[in-house]
Amino acid sequence: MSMIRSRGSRPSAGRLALFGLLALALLFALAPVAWMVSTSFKNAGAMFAIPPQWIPTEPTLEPYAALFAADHPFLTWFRNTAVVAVAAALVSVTLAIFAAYGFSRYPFRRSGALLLAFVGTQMFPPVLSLISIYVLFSDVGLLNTLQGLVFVYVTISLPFSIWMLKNYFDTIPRELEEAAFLDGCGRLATLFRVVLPLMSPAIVSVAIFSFLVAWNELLFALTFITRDANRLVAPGLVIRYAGQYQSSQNELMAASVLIGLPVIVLFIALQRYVIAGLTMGSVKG
Amino acid sequence: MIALRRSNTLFSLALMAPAILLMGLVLVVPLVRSLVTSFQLYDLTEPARLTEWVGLRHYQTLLGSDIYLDSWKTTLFYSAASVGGAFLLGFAIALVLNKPLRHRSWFRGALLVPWVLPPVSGALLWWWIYNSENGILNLSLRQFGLIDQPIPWISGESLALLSTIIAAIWRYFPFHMVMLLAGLQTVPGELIDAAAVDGAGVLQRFRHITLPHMRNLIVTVLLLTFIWSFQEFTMIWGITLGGPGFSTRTLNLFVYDTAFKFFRMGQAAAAGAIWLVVLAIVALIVVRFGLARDRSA
Repeated sequence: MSMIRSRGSRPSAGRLALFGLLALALLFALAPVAWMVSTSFKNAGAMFAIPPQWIPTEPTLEPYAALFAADHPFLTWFRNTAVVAVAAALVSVTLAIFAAYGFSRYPFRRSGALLLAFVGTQMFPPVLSLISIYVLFSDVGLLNTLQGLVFVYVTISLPFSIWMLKNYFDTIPRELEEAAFLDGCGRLATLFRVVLPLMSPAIVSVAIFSFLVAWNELLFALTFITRDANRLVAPGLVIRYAGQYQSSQNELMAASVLIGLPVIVLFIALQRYVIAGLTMGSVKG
Repeated sequence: MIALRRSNTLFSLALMAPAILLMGLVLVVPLVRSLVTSFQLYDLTEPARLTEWVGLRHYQTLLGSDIYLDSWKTTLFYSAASVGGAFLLGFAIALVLNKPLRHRSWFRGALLVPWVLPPVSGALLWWWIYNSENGILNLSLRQFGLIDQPIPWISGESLALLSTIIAAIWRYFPFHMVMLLAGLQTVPGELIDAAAVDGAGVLQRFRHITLPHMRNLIVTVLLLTFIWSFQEFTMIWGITLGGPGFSTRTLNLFVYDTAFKFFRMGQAAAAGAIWLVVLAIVALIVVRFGLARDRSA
């Protein structure tokens, strides 16, 4: 970063403009979210108040309570989504660790092409795969099941996970493993005892990424699960609240807040890992 | 490695086997099946003639269909505008954040919220914001006396696509910002300083040092986000359901409707196949000609 430009104590016009831009961007990014949170604490009347209340004059937990009511499927959706997302993260991380270790430490002649093939699957239009996976799952009885969705989500998150972990493995010096071999450690044992403990930032990144792929997905969740008991939260919300004019947007916003919270919390706690994972390997140095 | 070479390759393949198996069974095989389906009738409303071979008929029907061709136009406009907009905004903010700044990670974290929020939340939020009678956008515009009549952001054909583009820029600019900021931080400070000493102005330093250094990153980010924008479902369907009319019916929504609303799986598969081929060609061209060969300084 340039150290030469002199910085007086008075901000220059250029600097003010830059901060103005930053402020506008923050406004653009956060105002809608603020409105979402604000709406989630309003009763039906306050929702349509004019002038609009950015801070509700009579905040209420009614919308949230409605979601937890016995006849509301929100908790079922939430539980189903959590189960699928955690399972998808666990499976994805496990498969990715093994595969990435192979790519990094035991490459063979075509392994570079194979890795590229994995990453290349990201280009498949999901809706094209959707058509046949739908028929396949229908034939083997995986339609309307949570397990089926887990399989699909792992295929979506696996290539990037392998890529990320392989790049991270590459940065770990091989001397450690070679020392372990000299000590008589087997190849798998070396992976678990020597290398994995050093990989926690990358593993956390991959786990979060895979979790989010499942947590956030809509298209497959919407198409594959039509039975209410197994429905996930994203399709549930769209089917129940969207497209038709109803006065329950406050409930909808409350639900959005609730499904956003785990993600935001995860993200704040682990922002550094996530960003490092994103940008590692794609930026040199 | 002390072990024999051949045994290492087998070991490697064994490590990769579960991943390969899963991807193969759940993704690759069905995809190939889909491509085959594109040559079959596969109309679920005529179950007796499901696998009847129709050759290129679906492809011909599509190429002659205005709705299909329009979906390409809509998608190309949507992708160019949303990716371009998100990229420009993201780059601008990255440039600002690249300056010496206290609490930079707070700002970056706050700006990441649109991208981190579950897409369905974002989509339904913007659906509510854009609501012509009660959405906060029109309410605020009226409140400040800027408009008399509600603007049909998503209820009218002329603005619906633009509205989804704005929502997409909102959602995706943070991704561009993060990637480009990381790239900016790898530009060697000494080069910039040396150029400044030589009298190069800010724009010149940007054009001749910063941009070339970031070229591969920029090309990669643009290509990836362009491909992803074709696959966008939630941020369009969640806001407009593809309407009004066909104004926001991108290629992805077209294929989805053809398969799951009209049950013409064969035709949907053909549309998907065309999409795959076109994007593969574009990607190959961009990678071949867009990426500068690695010049290790």
